[in-house]
Amino acid sequence: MTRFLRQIAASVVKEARTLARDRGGLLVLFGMPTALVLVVTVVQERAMRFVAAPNADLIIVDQDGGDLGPTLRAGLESAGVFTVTSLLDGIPATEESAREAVSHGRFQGVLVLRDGTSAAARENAQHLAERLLSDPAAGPPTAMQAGPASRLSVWLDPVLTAPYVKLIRNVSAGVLQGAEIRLLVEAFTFEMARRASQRLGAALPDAVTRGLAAAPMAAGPGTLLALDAAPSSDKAWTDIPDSVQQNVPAWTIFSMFLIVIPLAGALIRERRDGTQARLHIIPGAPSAALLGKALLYLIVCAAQFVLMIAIGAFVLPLLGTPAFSPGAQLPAAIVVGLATAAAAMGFGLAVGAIAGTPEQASIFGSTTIVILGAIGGVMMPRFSMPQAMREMAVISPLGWAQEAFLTLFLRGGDLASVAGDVMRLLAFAAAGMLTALTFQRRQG
Amino acid sequence: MIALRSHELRKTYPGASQPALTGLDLAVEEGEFFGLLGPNGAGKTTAISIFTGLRTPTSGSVSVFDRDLRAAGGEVRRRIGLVPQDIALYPTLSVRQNLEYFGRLYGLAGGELKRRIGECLDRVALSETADRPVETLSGGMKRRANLAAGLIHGPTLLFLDEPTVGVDAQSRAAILTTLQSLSQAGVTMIYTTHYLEEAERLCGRVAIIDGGRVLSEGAPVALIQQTPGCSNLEGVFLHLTGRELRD
Repeated sequence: MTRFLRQIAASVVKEARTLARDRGGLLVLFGMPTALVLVVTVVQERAMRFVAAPNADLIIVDQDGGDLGPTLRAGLESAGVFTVTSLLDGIPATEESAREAVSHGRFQGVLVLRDGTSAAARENAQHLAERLLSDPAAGPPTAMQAGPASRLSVWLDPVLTAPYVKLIRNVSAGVLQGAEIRLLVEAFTFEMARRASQRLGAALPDAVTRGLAAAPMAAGPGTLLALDAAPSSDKAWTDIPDSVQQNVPAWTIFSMFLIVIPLAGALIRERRDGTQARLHIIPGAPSAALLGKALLYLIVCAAQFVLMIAIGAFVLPLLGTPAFSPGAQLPAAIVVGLATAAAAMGFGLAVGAIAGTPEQASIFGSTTIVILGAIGGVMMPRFSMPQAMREMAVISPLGWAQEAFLTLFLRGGDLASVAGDVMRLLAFAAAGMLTALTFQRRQG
Repeated sequence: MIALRSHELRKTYPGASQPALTGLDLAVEEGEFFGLLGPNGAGKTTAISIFTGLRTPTSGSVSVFDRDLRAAGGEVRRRIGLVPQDIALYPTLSVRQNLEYFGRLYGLAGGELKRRIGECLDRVALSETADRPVETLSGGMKRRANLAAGLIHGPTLLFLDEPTVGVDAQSRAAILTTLQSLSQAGVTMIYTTHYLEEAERLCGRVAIIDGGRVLSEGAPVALIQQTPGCSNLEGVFLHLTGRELRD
């Protein structure tokens, strides 16, 4: 046994020396994943933010200067969908400069309140209140009764997708409706208070009446009706990941599976150049050499895991993204990482046993990894895929690993909640090793 | 003692139309320098693969130092060395690192491993270039390094599959000198080559095989004398195997 362990140790050292001299292999294993996680995360960061937490930068051009502008701005900001400003490069925006900024994609929309909008809206509300209270039999108010509506102008970036435009319009309409209701309530309350005090013969000053009229709306939302929202299970929210939480585990998995290329290549070269024959006449050496390879590539996977997590936590924030946070589930994530590494290793051994040349192994291995990665939600989040593709994810070991990582990092899951995925990955690893051993025996 | 004996050895590869071996009978005495000669496709490499345990025969038996090869334990198998036809070394590692790896797989360590590496490098005249990656060596140096790797554990039965193919005269001379000194040290050599003058000079006994069986066997001088009109081993070889071109 000691002798066998020494053989394994010698094989690990040999593999490490071989890999250390393989600059191409090192580039594939460490350079490429680093570049991918940095580029893709930063590129997707904005898009994923739209999907994960819709957000648009709006610019308000308030030519009116009345109270409607601040009311609308507060409403839009409180909706949680917009970041609102009235300044462009530090100076108040004009309609022209704001539209120009939108046309260049700096903002997603511009809202223009023309001069006199507040006064006109208030006048319309007052007119409507007076008319209806004077003649209650006149029926529900109409636009005609209120006079011409005050019109606000909104221009949106044409590159926005239709659902996103709809979202912006609906939220804006909701805020406008709130402002309208506020004006109407104030106008009706004011008019009723004014008429009541006149009839009682003790007319209140207009300022007091207006203060009373504003009181019902001062209570704010949630006074009469409240909405409670809670997760549908005892777990935390099934959140849509941001770009960092999606891409760091995704490209970590992808990079781990890239060991297939050097691992399979090394096995084929050993078979072709006769070193495997030399190993086979040494008692215990074939198994030791295989285990040595497996161990070395497990160490490589562990290094990739640490590297990618470190990039997510320390490098990506320097490029303007949120920092990656593994949360409290790092030990469980390490278990998932080891199972993923085992699956990648099993796949590499199988490809190395089946493929005839390193070129075949490289093309087959890399293509398969890309396809399984795409199906499994590595390239794009699974929730953004068509249903049929989402169902296909069940066949992808990269998908199992990604799902397990997301369960740990986003859904507050623990080791028990990812046990199924871990078992699938380990079974895949065992199947790969079994395939490799079967082919190796057949070749004898 | 008989170092290697094969009896009625047959091998048919899956899907092959012709068997590679059709009843190969051989017996090589301990300490003998034995040449296994034959044209391309005669079955030499298949025979060596089976003698070293790399392949299993379809039928027949092989014994090494009077022990059935399949049942032989590690101690017997560790006495076998192989110098394959290919340069069976890791090209990006140095010669020393290759020898170190194979030595460790054979259980060598520490001072003993260092001593063996030094001896092997001296034997093949590669001490000066031992730390260069194999891929940067000349063809002759690679052949010598390949030989050194087969010797690292001190085998007493050494299989050499065309060890001088494609090397210059100097490297060939160095390899042959090494083999002669090993033979003088008592190592049993089983040697295949297409250079018949080499076999005539080195081997105490040769077997000429074709179609997977032995056509003739004996000391080169005796075979030459037995074959009318032949003045060297090449003449005997062509007489027995014909002049038809082989694939």
